[in-house]
Amino acid sequence: MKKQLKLVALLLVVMMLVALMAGCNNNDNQESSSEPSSAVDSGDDLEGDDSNQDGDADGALTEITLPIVDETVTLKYWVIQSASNLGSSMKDYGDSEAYIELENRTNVHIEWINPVAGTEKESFNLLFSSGDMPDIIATAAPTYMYSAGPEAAVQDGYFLDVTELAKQYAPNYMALINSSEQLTKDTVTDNGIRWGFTSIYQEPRLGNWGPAIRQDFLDAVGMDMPITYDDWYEVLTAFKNELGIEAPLYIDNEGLSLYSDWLAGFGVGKAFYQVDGTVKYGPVEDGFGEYIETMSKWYAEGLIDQSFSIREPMGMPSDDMVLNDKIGAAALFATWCGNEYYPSRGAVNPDFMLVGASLPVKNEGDVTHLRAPDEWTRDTVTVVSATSEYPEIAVQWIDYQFSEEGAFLMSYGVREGESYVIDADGTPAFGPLVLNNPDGLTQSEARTLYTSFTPLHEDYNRLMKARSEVQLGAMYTWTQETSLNDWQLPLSLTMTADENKQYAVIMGDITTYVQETVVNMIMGTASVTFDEFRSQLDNMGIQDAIAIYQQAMDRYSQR
Amino acid sequence: MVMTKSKRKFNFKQNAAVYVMLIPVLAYYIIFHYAPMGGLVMAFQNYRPNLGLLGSDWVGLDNFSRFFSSIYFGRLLRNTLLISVKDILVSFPAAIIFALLLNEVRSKYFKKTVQTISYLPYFISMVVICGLVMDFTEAGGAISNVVAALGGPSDGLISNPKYFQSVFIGSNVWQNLGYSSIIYLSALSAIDQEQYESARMDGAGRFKQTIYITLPALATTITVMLLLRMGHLMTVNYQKVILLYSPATYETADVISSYVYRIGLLGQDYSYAASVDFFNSVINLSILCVANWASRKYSETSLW
Repeated sequence: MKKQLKLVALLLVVMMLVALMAGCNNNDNQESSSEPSSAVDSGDDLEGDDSNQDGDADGALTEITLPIVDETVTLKYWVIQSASNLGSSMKDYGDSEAYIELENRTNVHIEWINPVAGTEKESFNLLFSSGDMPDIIATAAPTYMYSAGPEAAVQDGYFLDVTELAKQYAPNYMALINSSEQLTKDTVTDNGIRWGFTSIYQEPRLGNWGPAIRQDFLDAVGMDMPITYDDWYEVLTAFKNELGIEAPLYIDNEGLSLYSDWLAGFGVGKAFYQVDGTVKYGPVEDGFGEYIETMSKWYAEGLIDQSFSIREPMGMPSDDMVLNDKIGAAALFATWCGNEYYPSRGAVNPDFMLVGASLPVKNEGDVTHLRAPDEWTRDTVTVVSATSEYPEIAVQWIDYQFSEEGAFLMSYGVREGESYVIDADGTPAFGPLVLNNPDGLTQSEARTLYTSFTPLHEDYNRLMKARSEVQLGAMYTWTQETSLNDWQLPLSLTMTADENKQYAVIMGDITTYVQETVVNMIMGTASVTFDEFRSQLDNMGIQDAIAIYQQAMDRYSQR
Repeated sequence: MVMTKSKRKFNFKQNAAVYVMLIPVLAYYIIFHYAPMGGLVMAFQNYRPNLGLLGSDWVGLDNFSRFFSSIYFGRLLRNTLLISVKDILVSFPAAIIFALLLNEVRSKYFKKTVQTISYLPYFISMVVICGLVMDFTEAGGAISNVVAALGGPSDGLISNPKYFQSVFIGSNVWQNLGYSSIIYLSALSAIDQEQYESARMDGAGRFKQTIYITLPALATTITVMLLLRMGHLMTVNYQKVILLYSPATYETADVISSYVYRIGLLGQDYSYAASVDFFNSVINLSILCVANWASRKYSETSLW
């Protein structure tokens, strides 16, 4: 009996140890990327036999010849791949047909690194402190960026300075950059350092975020589309009193919205913006006080979501709130508009119809100056690590996606007639595999599986063509003549490392203060008046922060 | 756990198994707690990961003065201490009383069932618990409605700074009550029943029995548990705070560690985070030392 017990005990211990090991996830496969391919000389030999490229006399390529390398090279690529886009059929982008074909053509194998959902920021930060940087990283300022800024990241030896490399190995990208003064300016730092490859749409695209309102609710109360704040007040009151809507207006958890949609009418933005080159900060302006006054009145009367302060930080309402008729109006992406929520997404109301509304203004005909931006460049910048063993390969691989065939592949996939079709006017569009997937995939999932979800050089028309009338209508409403975006700060504004440090120190506490005071003022529980709030911000040094931005702005204007 | 003055012999042969079991524990503490202490020097530098600890510039007490001159310093310290102290005042006696009550129960079956049910919540993940708590205490949630019916605020508890600490501590009690009482129950079971017999013969009622027999027998356990609990005074389970707070409740919910998380870690400001945490630990240690000294002086029990 004792022997048996001993055996059982031993077995249990072994089982526990095995279970312990199961948790060890061997993510970094160092072997594959550090295996030096004999044919690849990753040193500074530009012309040698490391790739079979044609080039100019000085070694610069005029085009990317395929395959990029003779022997397969593996590069590690850190990029956020949302689980909802991957769906249940894909483990990572490596299962996407577009990327598989890309690998076949270029002979570059990608090892995808996808941070765990909810810890993206931490995972990004770890890249810098762990000493193990992937070859390619998808950055997106200001969230997914080195705290001291891109220039410091290059100087500190994290990001590779690709200014010269791009001229040698990225013909397509450089041709694109040099074709426009704006692009030339926006893709380098103030000192002319190129620190990565900015994702660029093939054509500038319209802003696709703005206020949206339930048309069916409007019809039910017999009112027109609201234009002024007073209109909105009446409409929201009717929603509450006549229809019993729980949250007539949905705002984000800071009491604002992603692109200052509800503030623009008062002539202010929610953070930093510029008026004709002079930088301003919204919360210290008079218009902000008017905004607070309006919002607190609406909140007190129950016109605003009573639990807005505990909602998710992204600023979009949860599906549950939208589907169950709990929301009358909110600021959203264009793709939410229309009546697709019923029945396919599970809305309960057969009359569900969400339409775009113009940003509210004080008086009809007023011009607003801030909204979701039209974009030609995106905030995504693809960066090569300074410690990568194959920088030239990485640059070429990235550049291929800016070439005509490469960009087409990533936007449309490989299956003519299925993942894409050629329209009567000769332009491509999504095919039935993406638009009406027979396996039940949503459009986003199908997009991810057959094409690239966000190509580096995307043909945005593919998305525009897939949009319904209502969605396009919303985008046109939001970008109409009286709704400008000329007060937005340039996306590629950069600060020096010292400015960054000083800015971080000042804004650390100010951000907290603004967040909580705005929320409390709207909810009516603040212990300060708006004027006290403003002078407190001055005491905390907001004018210095504005001055820092002003310096960056001045440098940008002189580029 | 009581410290006596007698020396124990290091009898390796006889106790070999025990010493071997001790090795992983020692290794854990050395590797994860003692060795990284060298990294505290980060608090006095402007740390940049690429320069490392030896290469980053020295800034002395700059990070500390930045923290002390923050307008939130007083509030953070206040919240941290308030939440911790209130938590001790509520959860600690609750666990003891629960153990005492459970001990009185005659039916073994009922006792075991109650015990099992009471410590099940401890094993639920904190994130799940916080999700539940937020659902129940937001405007229109089940608990909010009950409180509103009894005359409380009508727009929810979780976004109301006045109620945040109550919600936090209340959910703590619910989650930890059963588990914390286990050690007291085991101490109670070790009490000699004869003492009760003789007390009853002397005419002592139930309540007197509790005061004169049960509590003194538990005194050592209670003191040690309290001292251990004091060791966490400043860390105050900040992960739960982060999961439950929002800008509306920063006033009473923001504690030192959650502030550091926001400003220091999300902002890649490692030096600042290190300095604030250093300050946190120093205060924690001093409180623990004082408590231990007081305990040694006024009772014979202490941790060291």
